[in-house]
Amino acid sequence: MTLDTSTNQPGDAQSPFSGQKPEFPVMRPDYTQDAQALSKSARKRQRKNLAYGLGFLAPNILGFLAFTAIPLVIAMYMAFTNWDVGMHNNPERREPLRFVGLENFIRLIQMPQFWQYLGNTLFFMMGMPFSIAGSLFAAILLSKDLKGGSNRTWTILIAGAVLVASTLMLVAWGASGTAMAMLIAGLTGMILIGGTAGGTTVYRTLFYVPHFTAGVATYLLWKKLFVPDTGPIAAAVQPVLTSIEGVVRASPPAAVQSGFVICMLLGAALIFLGLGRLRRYWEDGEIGAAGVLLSAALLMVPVALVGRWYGFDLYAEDPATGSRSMDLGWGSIWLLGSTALILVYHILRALRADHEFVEKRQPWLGVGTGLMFAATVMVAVFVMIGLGPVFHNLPTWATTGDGLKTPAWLADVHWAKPSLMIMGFWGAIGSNNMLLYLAALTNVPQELYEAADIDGASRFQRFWSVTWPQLAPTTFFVVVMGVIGGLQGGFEMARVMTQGGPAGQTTTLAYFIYKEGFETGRLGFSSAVAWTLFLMVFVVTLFNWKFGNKYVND
Amino acid sequence: MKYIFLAIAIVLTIAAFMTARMAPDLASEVPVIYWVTDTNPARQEQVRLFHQWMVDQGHYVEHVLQNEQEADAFFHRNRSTSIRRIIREVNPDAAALCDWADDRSVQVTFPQVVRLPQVELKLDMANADGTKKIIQGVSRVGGDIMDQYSGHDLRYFRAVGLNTDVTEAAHRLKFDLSTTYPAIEPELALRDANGELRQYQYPCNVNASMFFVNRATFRQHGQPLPPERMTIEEFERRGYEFVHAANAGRAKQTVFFLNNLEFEVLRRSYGGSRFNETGTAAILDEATVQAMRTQHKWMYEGRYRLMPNQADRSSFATESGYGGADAQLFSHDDPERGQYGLFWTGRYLLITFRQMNEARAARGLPPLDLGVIAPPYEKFLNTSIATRAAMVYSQSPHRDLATYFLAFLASKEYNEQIVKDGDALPPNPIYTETEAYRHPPEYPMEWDVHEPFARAAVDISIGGSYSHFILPSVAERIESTWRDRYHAGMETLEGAVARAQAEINEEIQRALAEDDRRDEPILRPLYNQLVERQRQIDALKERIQEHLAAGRPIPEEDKIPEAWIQNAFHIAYYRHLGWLKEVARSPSTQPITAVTAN
Repeated sequence: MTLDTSTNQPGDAQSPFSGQKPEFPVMRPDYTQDAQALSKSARKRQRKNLAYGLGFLAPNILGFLAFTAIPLVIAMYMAFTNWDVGMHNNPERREPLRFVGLENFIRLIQMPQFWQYLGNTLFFMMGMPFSIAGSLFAAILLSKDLKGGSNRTWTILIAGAVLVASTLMLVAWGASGTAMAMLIAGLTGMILIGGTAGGTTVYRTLFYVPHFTAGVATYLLWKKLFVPDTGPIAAAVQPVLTSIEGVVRASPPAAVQSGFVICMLLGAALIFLGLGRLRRYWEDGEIGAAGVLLSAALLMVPVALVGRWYGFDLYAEDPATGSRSMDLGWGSIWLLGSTALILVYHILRALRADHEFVEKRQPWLGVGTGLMFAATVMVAVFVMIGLGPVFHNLPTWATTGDGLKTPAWLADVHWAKPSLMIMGFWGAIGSNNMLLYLAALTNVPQELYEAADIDGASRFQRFWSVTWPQLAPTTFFVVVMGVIGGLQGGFEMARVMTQGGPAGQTTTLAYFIYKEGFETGRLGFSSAVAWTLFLMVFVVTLFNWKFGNKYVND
Repeated sequence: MKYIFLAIAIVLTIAAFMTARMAPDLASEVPVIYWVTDTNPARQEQVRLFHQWMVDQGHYVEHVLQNEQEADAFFHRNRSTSIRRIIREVNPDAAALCDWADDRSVQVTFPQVVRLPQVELKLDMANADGTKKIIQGVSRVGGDIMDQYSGHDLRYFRAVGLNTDVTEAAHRLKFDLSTTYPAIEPELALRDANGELRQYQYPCNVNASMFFVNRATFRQHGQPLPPERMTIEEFERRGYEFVHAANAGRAKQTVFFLNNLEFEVLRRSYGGSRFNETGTAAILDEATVQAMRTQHKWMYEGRYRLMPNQADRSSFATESGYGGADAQLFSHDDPERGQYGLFWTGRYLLITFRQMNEARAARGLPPLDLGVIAPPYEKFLNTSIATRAAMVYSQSPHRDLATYFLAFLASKEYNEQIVKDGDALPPNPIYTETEAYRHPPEYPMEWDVHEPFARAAVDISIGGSYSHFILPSVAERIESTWRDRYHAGMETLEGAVARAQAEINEEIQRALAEDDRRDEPILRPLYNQLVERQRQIDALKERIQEHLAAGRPIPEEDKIPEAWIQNAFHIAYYRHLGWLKEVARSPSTQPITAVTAN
């Protein structure tokens, strides 16, 4: 670089010294000659750096191309062909690949198994609200600072020590019959002591254990935990069931069966509250008409299915005694009837709303909010519908046969899916979601809490009005990832724990893809299933992004 | 940073070259072939025997090493640990030379004659999973020899073209179908477009399933020993007496009469099969309904049940070792921990029982007192026969050499080793007629066991029932799913059977529709041919029924020619009923062109 040492001329508009005699020559870089040399060397250097960068990235890029991008493109092509290992990978008799258009997709839609496996996949996803709540709860717990010195910490430490000492004494006295109780007591004690000594770090590490434990190892462990009758879970649950059995036997059957009525009432109440909340969202201009309708429709799903599950028989006849008793059909009638009334009530209330304001709204506004809310309430209604028959049948179960026994878990067609959901719940609590919430909790501005305190907010109000809204972006991300993971998931646990059984109850779409592709060799059809799954994930994600994101940013 | 990455890349490249140089193929002058098989300690000995057999049969490379320089070059060419071991094993006279290869101070005189088998066999136990074999096979990197489990694998691998037709080699090297059990034919061979039987594999071992009886368990519960053959009625009567006596006073049933019974054996005993005579359709008739009902009764009904269901099985948390939980439960003496009186399995379980007997002896317990009985029957006594067979990978560069291994499986040396190990039945039934098989001197407690298995393989065993138009695994998956749904109370018995039949037949029609789109359909002409044949068979069956209804003997011309029937069960069953016209199955009389469904 050379310098132009010419002086500034008076009247030079660009000179800062215009109109003044310059005291020093103004240094002006002359880039004309050096710029070329500079840019040449810079470009050379840039090219060199690029070559290095690409060279080092090459293994990764090549791996991505070879094992992800190109197979993806091929799989998309395969989905529209009749690709079959037997016909098209046969070294002795290679046949031309045939384009079949949408045939594979149409066949898939016509397959009852596809709907069953999709239903299984969605069933597993119903655990998501619980998982999110669990990870949030864990994150809130772990965000508390636990340091030694306080009275509470000393209490915890002493409790832990007592538990460990008790366990050791039981072992010393040969009390092997209570192995499970000892194990639980000992572990609890150890955790309490460890947590007290190590502070929050110990608890955070412990809670995060499920995430970095290898999947297959976890599944094998849970398979052992779920061993019927003699497994640890059965051993822990059976005493509880025995106690319940005692209570049920001692109570009049009608009293126990009233639980069914309570469940139905609660179910209707949830629907009432859910629709009410949706209506208020609508009245406040937070949700448009489409959002309300879609959310309300989602909320109606359990009601639409209850007749199929409960039937419509009002009375059941005991073949032995000929006596008649209330049957589950009452539940169907009640839920359908009450829901109809609730709907009418809310529609009438809605009609009285500010129409002028309503008309200005965008119809798709807040769809994500509404659906997320409705999905959560829907799961709660499902839980009520599931619990109802338990209370209804409890007196019969408790007084006949062997009484109340733990189910066969993974071997039971009715319990296989819930068992896997329980396992998933355990994994989800200590997952990345917990870490995300933990990080998000530290970002909540303290001023908001202080303002809430000044306003005299209770703990719950602080959470509901400050913490929860502030966590909305994280919740949105967690939900999106959960939905994607949920739709794609279930392969390992099905393969390791149940082989998709019993009776296909734990076969998810991911496992179905594997079975079709590798057990029967129909790669074209299997690819069609995979791309159908991708389409579902894509649509749901797009929906989440389009509507949920707005809600989060708002 | 870039220099660090560069250094890592250089180190990895050097390591890759070194690894490649140490690869068995480059460290041995004879080709190396891989046997994809299960993890079993006996395989090492079988590999050793194979190398020795190759040399004994004259399939070797001979070197006359005149001096140290030649010996040095020879051992440099053969530097892998495994080939050195083989040299030592097959050249007992050259032990000093082998020592010299490791330690040059050892004195050795030249010339030395050294023989090497024409091929080095290595075990690959990491890729025995069926999916792995298929993926590697179609990717042209499959093992040279692969273990196959019965006709299921045979048909799938044939559909994908991964197994080699060894028919001619089998005749030349004497491992053709005449050297093994007739009943195992559907598991080893298929018919080609000319109707000729083509062989694709040869058994490593053969298994005819029977019930082991733990006599001590019966005595423990005060029950009489079961006879060798029983009708289902008698079986149930004895079974319920057994479980009532064994479980009396217990809150939970822990003792079962039997661990399991193959559904197909039960169905056949009622006179039914999954497919019709020609395999053109699934016929899940009354026999299937009865078999499912019986299975349900045994597993789910009553205070005490004969057979454990899936939940019972899961609750036995003793699944470990060869044979799994069933072997443990069958063999121990404590009813509280669970017990079986009868154990449905094959002779190969003797490997486990021998280990258990050693453990029992160490604890001062007597050896297991074992007997063997046949499965119960209603109309037709039968059992299943299966095999772990070896096939030669069609894309192997060493197919000819790998074929020697199949010949080795038919050899005296291999068969005697199977007899000695108790690893199911030897491939050649001749070796079950020896004293070494029937009365092994080291195991006198087993003398009642060996012969019933051998007799069952010859007298009452039936191979699998297959259709050309649906993969066995697909048909089995459909049926078992509907069986599960019935057992779980999600479907009625009749409904489950009807749905299973409909779905299997839909799959058959789907395969045919796919085939119709080929320029030259393969399955459709065969299907049409077989459907026509089925009509003829059905017409003959009607006439047979008329004869029977009228109390007349069946005339020879109204009997069903054996060559018309594809389904192994129907051949055996109609022979049993006297409905079969025994005609030699030859290519000229065999109109069936056999291929497998895709």
